[in-house]
Amino acid sequence: MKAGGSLRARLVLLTTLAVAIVWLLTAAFTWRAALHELEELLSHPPTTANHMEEERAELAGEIAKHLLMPMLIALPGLALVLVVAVGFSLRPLQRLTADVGNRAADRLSPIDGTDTPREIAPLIERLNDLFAGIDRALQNERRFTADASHELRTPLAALKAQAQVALAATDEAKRRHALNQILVGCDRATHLVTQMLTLARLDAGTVQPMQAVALRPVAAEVLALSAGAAVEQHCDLVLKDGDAPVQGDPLLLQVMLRNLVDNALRHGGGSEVEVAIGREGTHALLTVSDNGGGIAAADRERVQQRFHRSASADSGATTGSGLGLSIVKRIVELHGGSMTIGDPATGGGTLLRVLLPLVRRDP
Amino acid sequence: MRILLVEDDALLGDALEAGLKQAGHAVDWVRDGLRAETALAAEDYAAVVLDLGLPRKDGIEVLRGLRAKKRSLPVLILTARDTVDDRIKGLDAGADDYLVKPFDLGELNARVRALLRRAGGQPAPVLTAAGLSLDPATRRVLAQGREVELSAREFALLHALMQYPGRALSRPQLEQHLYAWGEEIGSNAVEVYIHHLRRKLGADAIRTLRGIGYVVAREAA
Repeated sequence: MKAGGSLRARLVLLTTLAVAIVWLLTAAFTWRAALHELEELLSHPPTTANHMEEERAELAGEIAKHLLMPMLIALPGLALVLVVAVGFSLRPLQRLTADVGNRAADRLSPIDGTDTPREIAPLIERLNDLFAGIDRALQNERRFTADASHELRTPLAALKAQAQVALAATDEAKRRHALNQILVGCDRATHLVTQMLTLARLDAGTVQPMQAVALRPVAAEVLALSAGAAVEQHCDLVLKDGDAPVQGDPLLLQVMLRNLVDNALRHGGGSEVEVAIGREGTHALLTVSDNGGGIAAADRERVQQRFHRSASADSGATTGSGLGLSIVKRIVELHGGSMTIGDPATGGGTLLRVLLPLVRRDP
Repeated sequence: MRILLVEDDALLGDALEAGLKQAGHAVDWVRDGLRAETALAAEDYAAVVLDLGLPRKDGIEVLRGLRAKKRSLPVLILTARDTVDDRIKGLDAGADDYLVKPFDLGELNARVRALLRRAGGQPAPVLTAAGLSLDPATRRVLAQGREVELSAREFALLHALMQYPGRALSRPQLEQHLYAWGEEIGSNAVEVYIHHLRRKLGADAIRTLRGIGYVVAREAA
């Protein structure tokens, strides 16, 4: 940003100039009046002491009058000059005010910072930083809204088509099947909306204050809640020994674990899902692994993208929201941790490793 | 008519399969792009209903591959993106028509009918040949002006023959039109349906060309 001089320097310079002009004018008048009086005094020298006293008073009065008169005339002029000078000096500020004031709420392009006084330059810089931040947030939100409307279309299409199939069905069994599918569809749409809202809230970054949380009870609760789904998938759930306290939000950690276990059950396709908690340096290490088909190394980046849907292990069709791993990733980020997808030491399957900072112990 | 349905969403696929079957088509449903390519290479479909967002291989890629092999069968794409750009991309990749989700099942069936009609070189919505008329939309068949009741399979068989009047269709070709995967095909099913159709429509309606197949004569000009 090129600074266009200093606002302060400009004000001081213009004011000094205005005062100097008025002062010079006053001096000139006074000089003329004094000259005139002195000439008169020299051409008619005072003869008596009385006369002398009179002349002295007259001279002093004239000088005072000529000192005062231009001042009285010049002061309003000076005020006028100052008004113009100050206005001129503050023009960059007015330009900035107009620029910011005329902006539509969504016009977040940076303010042109060339030719601005040194005093305003930092302000413009901060404003531009702020605009850039808001712009990023707005773009995220727009992308999310576009994604969301796109993602909601498929379940809506399914609901509508199933309803129309039910209406047109002449066979009672087919009609019942379609109606049941509508119920399943409503549950799935609900799940999708819940996941999207969770992610939107996480994106907004409104996190409760972090507290010390032991991971094991959280994992135990999540596994207990997933038991029904595991039985349906003919899959065993295992929680290995071990625990670690992390600095975190217990509710978010639960959401994170639920999504991880859910993914392993839904897409893993193995006969066992294992959750283990341990430590690695200054971090707690949480792993969720399955012994199913695994994720090809080339796909590991892609499955973490929003709305990327993997085929479910049993039917080959997609039924999830495509947001599970995005939610996990965001929660891990908010906790200052990291997540990686790898291979289990025991061979086939998928291993998800989550590192979260341990609780800092005060000495 | 036999239709390939490519849709990864479990619920939507289930509904579309049921809906297309209600309209009298034989439907094979696959759930990803690679399986769609395998199916397209192995079977002879009258049309494809193709979702664009697919696992393993994107719908657009499947479509481009199909057109690169100079296959001209009609393709209707289903898209969740409603921007003009997406529609242009789909049509330019070789789609014949598109529907934006969520859509009306009736409209889907009407568009499929229109595609089949055009692919068969039949501009009129009602197929006519050999004194017969068949309306795919209302599923009504008239023989010499008199309405005839047909079972679903009989209708599908006659529809296939009237789609290409004057052209003989072999027994395996007709079986392909009638049955989706996993459906039991009786060894002389086609003969049985032809027999039923002749009884209902008149013996001359469908002619047998020995060693070649069956044909419905083109309407005398």
